[in-house]
Parts: sequence; C-alpha cells; structure tokens
Amino acid sequence: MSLFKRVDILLVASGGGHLVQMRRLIPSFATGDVRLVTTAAKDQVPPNFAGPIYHVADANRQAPLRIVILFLQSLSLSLRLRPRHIISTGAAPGAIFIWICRYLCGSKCIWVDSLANVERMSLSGRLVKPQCDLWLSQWEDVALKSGATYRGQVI
Amino acid sequence: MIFVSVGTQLPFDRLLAGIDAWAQQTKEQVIAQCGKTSYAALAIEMRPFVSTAEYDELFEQADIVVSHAGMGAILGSIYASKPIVIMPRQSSLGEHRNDHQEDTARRFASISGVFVVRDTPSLHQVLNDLRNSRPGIAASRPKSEVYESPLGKSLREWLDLDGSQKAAASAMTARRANVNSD
Repeated sequence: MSLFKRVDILLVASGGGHLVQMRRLIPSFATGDVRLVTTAAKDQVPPNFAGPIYHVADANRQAPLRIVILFLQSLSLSLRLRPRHIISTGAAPGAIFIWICRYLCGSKCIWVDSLANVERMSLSGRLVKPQCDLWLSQWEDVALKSGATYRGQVI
Repeated sequence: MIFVSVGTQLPFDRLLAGIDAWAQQTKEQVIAQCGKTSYAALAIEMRPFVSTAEYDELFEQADIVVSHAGMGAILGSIYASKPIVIMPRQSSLGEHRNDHQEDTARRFASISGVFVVRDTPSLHQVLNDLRNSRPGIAASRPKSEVYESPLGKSLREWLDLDGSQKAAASAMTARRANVNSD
C-alpha cells in the first residue's frame, strides 16, 4: 500500500437502512478509487460494489462501549486510506470517520441524513455539522428548519 | 400475494374489512399481520403477531404491500422497490392517538410506487389498478442498483472529480472574453 496514494472517496454507512440508502448512491461513483466502510455483516454488503469493503464495529446508543473499538478501527483506516472525500449516510461510524479524517487529512466531507428522519436531523449528523462541507437532509422542510442543504433524495 | 401490515399498537379493523372485501371479490391471496383484533375475516389469512424473520419473509414474498402509515413498512417498500398502498390511521375514528399518520402519508405520497388511500373504494381502485398494471401507474420503480438516483447525480456533480465542470466554466469564460474583446 503506497504511503502517498490517497483514496478518492470513502463511503461510510451503518447497516440496515443506512446501507440500503448508500447502495442507491453507489452507481454515481463508478470512477476512481472508491471504497466502502460499513458495520453490516458480510452477507449484507452490496453485491455490485466492486471496490474494497471494510467492516467496523457496530456502535450505537444501544451498544456505546463499542465506540472505543470503532474509534480505534476508524483511526487506523483513516491513517491508511487518507480519503480525499468522505460520504456518509449515517450513523455514528460516519460521524466518527468524518471527524477523524477532517482533522487528520483535510478530507472533504458530505453527510446525507437518513430518509427516515422526517422531523429533524439525526444526532450523529448534528454532531458533525461543523466538519461537513455539505450537510444534507433528504426533506426540504427539515433542511429549512435545521440549516441543512437539500439536494434531492436517494429514491 | 398481498401482505397487509397494521402494526402492533391499536387495531385497524377498517383496513382489514376493506381488504377482506376486496379479497372476497378477487380471490387474491392476502396475508395480514392484523394485531390483536376481534375482526372475523372471510377471505384473508390473519396473523395477529409475526416474528421479525416472518415479517421479512412475508415482505420479501409480497407483490404489493398494504399498510397503515408506519415508517418501517413505508421505508421497507421503498427500499425493496415494492408498491405500497398506505391507509393512514385517523384519530377521529379512534385508530390512532393523533393524526401523525396523515402527515407521514402525505410526505411520502409523491414518491413513485407509494399510494395513499383514505377509504375502502379508493383502496379497491388502487389495488385493482396495480393488479392490472394499468399504464400511468408505476407499480415499481426501476432497479436502483443500476440507475443513478437524483441525490447521487447531484453529489457526483458537486464533487466534480474529473474536473469537467471547471473545464466547462473556463471554456465559457474564454468565450465571453473573446466576445468582449471583439
């Protein structure tokens, strides 16, 4: 692994709905060195994604202690990959990668809040708003209320 | 197979009666996760409670999903590219404690493959149209693993990794400079 070559785009998504929405974005990023980080189990990963896939610990409000493991995994991956861009559809792992990579290697960061968040931006999203170059809600009125940007939906 | 989901909070007999009547007429296979209810069905299979695995299985098998306006069913249908017919619960009929479901239904109504009905005749109308796949009704959306989503396109353009937008912009600037200098 070259020390000087940076990954173009790092896609970060938790399992379940977050990964399903990321799958909708994957067709738009077919060129360049694009890699995926997810908490989903190996049988849930998109079969049509050609790039490398990394699995990290699933830490969320129900399992907060795994945050430490997740943080260490994220740090290690960030040091190796040094992505130019990060796109995350949530949740906590996306926020952690954005936070780390922003300061470690000046990555351009895009947050895509889940389609399920029809009232307000998610907690993870709100925590990394200052680190994001593009901070998106998939609902126009939520964007208006929260100061997020609206650029369409994944469907 | 039509899969009906009413959730696990309050009964939703209006929806069950509506789809039961339709099943009696059309003889279509309907399986309903019906919750705790005293409604006695004539033509649909009633299952008060289903495990997560069963729910996923039924969802997977279904050609059409009919549901109250619960986020799980709505998002699940969108993700699985299955048509979903939503009947929002109404608080005035004692079906829900507020009219949140009406708001949710309206919000998702404009998404392709999502249909909102508020009474039994409309429910029958939409189900018949979906069954007959009449032109003008999008029973499902294109396989989105291949097609670019609106947000994906927007992000791709914003990232502009191949610099094509910058090239276009500088070409435009050059043309303007030429015009001004003439």
